[in-house]
Amino acid sequence: MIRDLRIDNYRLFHQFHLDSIAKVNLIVGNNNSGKSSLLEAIHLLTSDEVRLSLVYILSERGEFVSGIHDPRFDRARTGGYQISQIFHDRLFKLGQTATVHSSSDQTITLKMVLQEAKFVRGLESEQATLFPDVVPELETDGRVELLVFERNGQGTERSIERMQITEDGLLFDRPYNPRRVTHPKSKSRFLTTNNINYDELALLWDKITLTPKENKVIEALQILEPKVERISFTSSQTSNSGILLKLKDKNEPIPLGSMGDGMRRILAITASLVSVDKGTLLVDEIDTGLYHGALVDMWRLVLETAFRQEAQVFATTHSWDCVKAFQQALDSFTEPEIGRLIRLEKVDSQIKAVLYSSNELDIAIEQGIEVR
Amino acid sequence: MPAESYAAQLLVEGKNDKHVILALLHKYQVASTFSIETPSDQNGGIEPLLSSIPVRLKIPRLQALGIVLDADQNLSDRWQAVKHRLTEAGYSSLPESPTTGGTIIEVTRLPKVGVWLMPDNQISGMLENFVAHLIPSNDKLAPLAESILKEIESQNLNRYRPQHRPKAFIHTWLAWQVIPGQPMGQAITAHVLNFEVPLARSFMNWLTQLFG
Repeated sequence: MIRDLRIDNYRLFHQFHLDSIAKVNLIVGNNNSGKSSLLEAIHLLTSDEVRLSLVYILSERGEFVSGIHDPRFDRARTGGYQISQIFHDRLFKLGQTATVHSSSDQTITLKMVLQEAKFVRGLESEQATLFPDVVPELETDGRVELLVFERNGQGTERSIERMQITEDGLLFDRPYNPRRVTHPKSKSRFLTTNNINYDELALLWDKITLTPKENKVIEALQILEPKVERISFTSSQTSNSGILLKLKDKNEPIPLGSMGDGMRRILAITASLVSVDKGTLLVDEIDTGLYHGALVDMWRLVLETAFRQEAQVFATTHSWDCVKAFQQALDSFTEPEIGRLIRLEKVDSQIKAVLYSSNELDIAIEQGIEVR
Repeated sequence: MPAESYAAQLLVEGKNDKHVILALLHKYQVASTFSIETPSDQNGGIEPLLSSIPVRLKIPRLQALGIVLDADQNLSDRWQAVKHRLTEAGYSSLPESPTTGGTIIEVTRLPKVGVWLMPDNQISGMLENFVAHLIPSNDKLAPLAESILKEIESQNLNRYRPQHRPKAFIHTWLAWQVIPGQPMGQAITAHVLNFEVPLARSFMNWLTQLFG
C-alpha cells in the first residue's frame, strides 16, 4: 500500500509531496489542480505494464496525433503520442525526467527520462545502458528514447522500458487497445471519465464469472436496480447491447444500455475493484452518472471491498454530494480511518495537498463547511 | 450543500452574537466584507465551534478567520482551548493570554486569525456582559434590574444557574423597555442600547483590523 508519495516534474506537479495516504482516498480540488495528474502518476507507479499504461493515459487525454504512418506497424492504423505532455514544462528536450516515488511499506520509484539513444556497435542498446561503466565506447545516432527505470527497496535501479521517440517528440504505438492493457493479472486499473468499452469489461468479466467476485458485482448493480439477479456478456460487442441483465419477475433479459449511465459506471467500478485484488484502483470523477442515494451505497461497497481484499483506491470528484456520501459511508464503517479526503490546491503555482481526517470530515459535513 | 464560502469569515457561537454584530456593523457603517458563520443549527454552543476551527482554517482560499466566543467562567481556560486548536492547525508562538483589544495572529502562508473572547478579553463572561456595557450610563432601570435579581437570589427563587446571571440581567432590563423583550440586536438598532461606548468601539476596531 502506498502511504506517501513524491512526484517531480510530472504534468502539473513540479515538486509535490503527499503524506498520510489512506486505503480509500477521495481527492477534490478545482479544475487544473492536479487531480487527474495524481491518478496518472499513481497508475504509472503501480502498473506492471508501464508502456501500455502510458499509452492509455496519453490516449485518454487525446494527446495523440493520428494518421501518421510508421513502417514498423504497417498493418495497424498508427499515430504518435505526444510524450512531452507528461513533463511539467511540456518541452521536448533531452534530460527531461519525471519521477514518482513512494518510500513507505516498500520503497518504489518510477523514473521516466528522455535521453539520447546510446548503443555499442553490435550490442543491444539495452545491455549497453545497463553497464555504462563496463562498456565505455557508446555511440549515438541522434535518436531519442524514453527510458523508464524502476528502483526497488534495495536501491537497485533497472531499466524496465525503452521507447523510441521521433524527432518530433512522438512515441509511436498502436492506438490504445484494451485487449493489451487489460492484462488479467494487472494490479493497477485506471478508470477515466470515458465509458469503459465492451472489450475491457468482457475481459474483466472472464476472470470474475463463476467466482465469489461475481456476487459482489451483482450486489453493486442492485444498488441501482434491486431486481438484478444475473449478468451476462453476449457476442454482440457493444456495452449497450452486449451486456444483458436478468431482472426478477422478468422472463426476458434486458440490455445494460437501457438502464442508464449509472449502471455501466457502477459495473465498471466494481468489476475493476474486485479484479485488482491487492492492487490499486484509480477512478476519475467516481460519481459520474450516480445520484446521491446510490453514492452512499456505492461508497459502502467500495470501502468494504477495499478493506476485505486489501486494495487501495484513489478517486476524484467535484461534487459535494459525493463527498457527503463518502463521509456517511465512512461514518458507519467499522474503521473510519480507512478513508481520507485530500484536496489539491495551487499555492504560488505549486500544488499542495490539504488532508482531512475522517473526524475533520465529519465536522465539515455536519456544519456545512466547504472542503472542495 | 454548504453556503457560498467567503474568503473572510467571522465565526460566532449563535444567532444572538450574529445579530448583535450585524447591528453594530450597521451603526458603525462598516461594510461587511465577511460572512458571519455559526456552528450547525442543531447543536450550537462552544464545543462544535471549537472543534470546527481547524476545519474552517482549511477552507479553500480562506484569507481571514475571526472567532468570537464567550470566555464563560474561566477566561484563561477558554483561551487555552482556542490556543490548542490553533496550534493544531499550525499556528505557533501564540500569546499566553488574549490581547485587550482583541487578538490578531498573522503567520505566513496561513489565514490571518482573530480571536475575541466575550466580553472584553480581560474578564470571564459572555455576550450578555458585552451588551450590558451598551446600557446608557445614566440609565435608571439598570440598578433596579440588578436589585431585583439580588432579591430573588437572596430568597433562592432564581431558576437560572449562576453562570447565566448576565443573561437574566440583560433580558430583565430589556423586558422594561418601550418594546418589552426586544432581542439585543434590535435594541441596538432601535437606540435602546448605546453603540458608542469604548468597548463596542474597541470591538469594531478589532474587526476592521482583522478584515480591513
